[in-house]
Amino acid sequence: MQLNQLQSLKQLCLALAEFYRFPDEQFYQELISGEWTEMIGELGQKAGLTGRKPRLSFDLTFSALKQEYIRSFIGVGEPAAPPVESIYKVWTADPSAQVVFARQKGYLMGDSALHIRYLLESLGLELPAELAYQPDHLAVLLELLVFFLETPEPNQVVQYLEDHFDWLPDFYDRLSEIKANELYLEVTSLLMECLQQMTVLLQGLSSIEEVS
Amino acid sequence: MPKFSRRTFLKMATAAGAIGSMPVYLNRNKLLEAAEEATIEKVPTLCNGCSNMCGMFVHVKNGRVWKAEGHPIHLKSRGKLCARGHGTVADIYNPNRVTQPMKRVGEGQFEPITWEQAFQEIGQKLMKIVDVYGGNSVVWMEHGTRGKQYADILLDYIGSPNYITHYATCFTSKTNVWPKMVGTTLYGDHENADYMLFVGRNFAGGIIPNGMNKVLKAKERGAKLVVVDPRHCELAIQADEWIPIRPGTDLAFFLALAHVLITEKLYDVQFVRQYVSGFDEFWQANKNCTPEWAEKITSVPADKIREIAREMAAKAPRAFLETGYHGLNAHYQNSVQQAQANVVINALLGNMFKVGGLLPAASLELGQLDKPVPPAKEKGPRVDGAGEEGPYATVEPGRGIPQLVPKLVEEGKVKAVFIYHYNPLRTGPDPEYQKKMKDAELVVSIPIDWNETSYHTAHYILPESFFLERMETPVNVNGHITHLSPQVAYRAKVVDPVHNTKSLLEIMQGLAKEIGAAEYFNFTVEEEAEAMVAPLGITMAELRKAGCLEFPPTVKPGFPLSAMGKPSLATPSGKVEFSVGVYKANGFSGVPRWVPPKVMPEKENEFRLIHGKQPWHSHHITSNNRYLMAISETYNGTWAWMNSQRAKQLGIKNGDTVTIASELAQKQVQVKVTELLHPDCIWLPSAYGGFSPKAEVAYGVGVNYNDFLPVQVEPIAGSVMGQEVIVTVRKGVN
Repeated sequence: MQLNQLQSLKQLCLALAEFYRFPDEQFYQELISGEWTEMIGELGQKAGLTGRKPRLSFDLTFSALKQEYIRSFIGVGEPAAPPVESIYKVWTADPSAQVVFARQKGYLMGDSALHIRYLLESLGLELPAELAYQPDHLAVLLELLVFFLETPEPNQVVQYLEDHFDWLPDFYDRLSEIKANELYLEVTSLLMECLQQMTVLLQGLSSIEEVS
Repeated sequence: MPKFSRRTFLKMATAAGAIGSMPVYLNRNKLLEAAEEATIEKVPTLCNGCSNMCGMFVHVKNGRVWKAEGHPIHLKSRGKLCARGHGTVADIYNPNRVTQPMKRVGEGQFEPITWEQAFQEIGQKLMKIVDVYGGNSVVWMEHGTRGKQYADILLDYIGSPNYITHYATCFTSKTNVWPKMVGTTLYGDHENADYMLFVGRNFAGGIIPNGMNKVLKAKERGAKLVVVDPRHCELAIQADEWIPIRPGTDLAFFLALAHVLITEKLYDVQFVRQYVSGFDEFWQANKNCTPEWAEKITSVPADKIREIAREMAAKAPRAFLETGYHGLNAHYQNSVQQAQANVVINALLGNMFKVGGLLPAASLELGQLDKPVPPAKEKGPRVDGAGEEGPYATVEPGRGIPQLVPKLVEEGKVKAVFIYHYNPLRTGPDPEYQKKMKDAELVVSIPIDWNETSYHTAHYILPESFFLERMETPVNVNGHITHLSPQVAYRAKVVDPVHNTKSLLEIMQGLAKEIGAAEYFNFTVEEEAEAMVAPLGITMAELRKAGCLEFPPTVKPGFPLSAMGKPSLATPSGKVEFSVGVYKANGFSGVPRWVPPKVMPEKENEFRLIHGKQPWHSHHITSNNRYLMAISETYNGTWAWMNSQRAKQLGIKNGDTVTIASELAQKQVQVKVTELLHPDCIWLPSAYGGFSPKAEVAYGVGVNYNDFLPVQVEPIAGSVMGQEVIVTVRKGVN
């Protein structure tokens, strides 16, 4: 049971990560056809989430979806909510930093990025070109989470979850503040639910391998 | 369950593929504890908070920018950075930068595209335009002149003469006048002067840290500092005396100073006899310009004018009239004559090429990389007419007339516009007029951030790497302040780019490949830099380590003389020429003579709209920086200034919101009511009025003088005449 739940949560994380990347035609077609909604709904059910049906249906052309992505996450013409961890946290805890923004939020390449960059380099992992400059982009964090779920140590994964996903409520608030597309609010809400469930599940395990 | 596709994502960096062990610091806090122990590297580079390019050290820890400080050797900074320098550093990690190439897909709508797609599409469109309309339908505009070395190759390749800078909004009158009258440009030797007269130049607003340091050192030594300015500017705070002058009448003040120096025989007769040509012509034209005549025009008392002239003469040659910058050299119909009169005053004081007076810039001849050049193509006349036969024959082609470009687009004469490191929609007159640029067939902007020009007009936005992310070629360190020993410095790449951006050279190389010009950009900035420093007997490794190197003195005080002992300035006579032949040949007066401002306020609610810099902003380019804007908030920096008497007449109190209106615009702003401003004018800081919605911090904050300013061209130097505009002011918002 636990194995199935964890596998479903992993799949769900990967599926939701796609929404935070710039949409391509194939993703759009699958999304508009309802395949993703169905699949995410099934995964959510298997993962033991609340059981509510995700509201991922929408009526947008491909161009309009791209513009909605830009409006929500890049922000041309109005403020946006970039899905990047550093922006929502104090830039650095290192007391030796003497730049004006050292203790401020709102900047890229903060301590979070430093840690993720370190993890990626240590593991010998490379990012795709589109995300190469944003190590702590939410899509990268989720991909790395799934990567860590392959390891036998649930405590380590829980630590990673606590270290790198505690900003999602602030991110959600920012999405609400800028009146981001409902699709992205729904995906983010689902993601928070998914990660919370995953944390609870992992905290009850002594070994991921043992379960599997 | 339905299948869903996922795009390729995390990949193993090596072919081996397998993960050996988990990272040591899987825990974030453990990694950060270890990271605190990392060493800090100090990288010398050049600031970009304004165009002065002060030397700075940037501390880097764990690949991140950690601290910034002034370079101790560099002439402009001497160990100090101004607020702009410290604040600007934060922009590197600002998420509101342009993060990757963008293509316009609708009004206010862009899509990210790859660099390859951008180069391909721009290249195809550019060459089609060149084929159909010819090379001179293409314009390159930039702040100037950092992109020129690469822009010139592109323009030569396609056969366009149209390199245009922003200087028409800045100092074109000065650069037009000085080479013609003196053969070079001279700068005040502040540190060694005994009397410094600054007119229309806020040296503490457009601040150069070591420039102000030199002024203050001179003051400590007992030198006198007099500031003539309609506003009690930041420099006036430091001055012995502030003299409010009616804006636009500085020329009359100068002519009256000259009148006193000549009539009271206080001028350096020997200097004039030996080194000046055209003195009589000047005097014949201006012998009626008495202090009493000037008092009526300037509102400066005649006795005060006499006093200043006498005091300066007494201290000469260690006395100077500061040679100016943005202030008066692009603001008025009489800006050129004003710049000419500046030369005259200094020559009459006999201070040129003298310690404590005016000195030339110390510089070294840098080498050049030997590289293939595009085959010569016949170029048509410049599309803006600068330096061409016609109404703008005396305008420097190297500067150009940027304010004409939207009109030229409208007329179908300009089809492609490249805009590099320049934001004419906010820093040029009449933004609605400037928007016409978007109607060209191709508009490419190369910015750092989402400036107004990119957002409202660009078809493609190609983001340049931030100044801390790119290397540039070495430069001579000079301008504005004097130093006998030349210095060479360069901008180093301090950290890797935070976004998918490129240096200008990389952008040009990408574009060149698509238009068949790759061979002309087949070099690196490192190769260029090595070739440039080679004649100096140093290597880039040495310059890289030091950031700024000083060489033995090249400036020797004393008037330049030929081997035969004759004056040898680069002017037709070898002397300082009070009368400019090329002006005469084009129907203008050779010598400066009184020209009134183009417009004057007349009614009770009319004011001349003037503007200026604040010490924490570089006009508009820093206004999206939240730290610098926090300073603005602290000091009510966005407020307009208004004279208290005039305010009282209009029922306006300190802090009231007023409506400023010209024929072009009507805007609201809060007002500071003060006695520290000449009654004829209202003053606005030049930093505000952002209207690019993506520049979140600047957006909608304050108003900008350019909103009210019509498009104009001063005929001799081509300036925008940035303060030739009358506005009405009334209390309230209706």
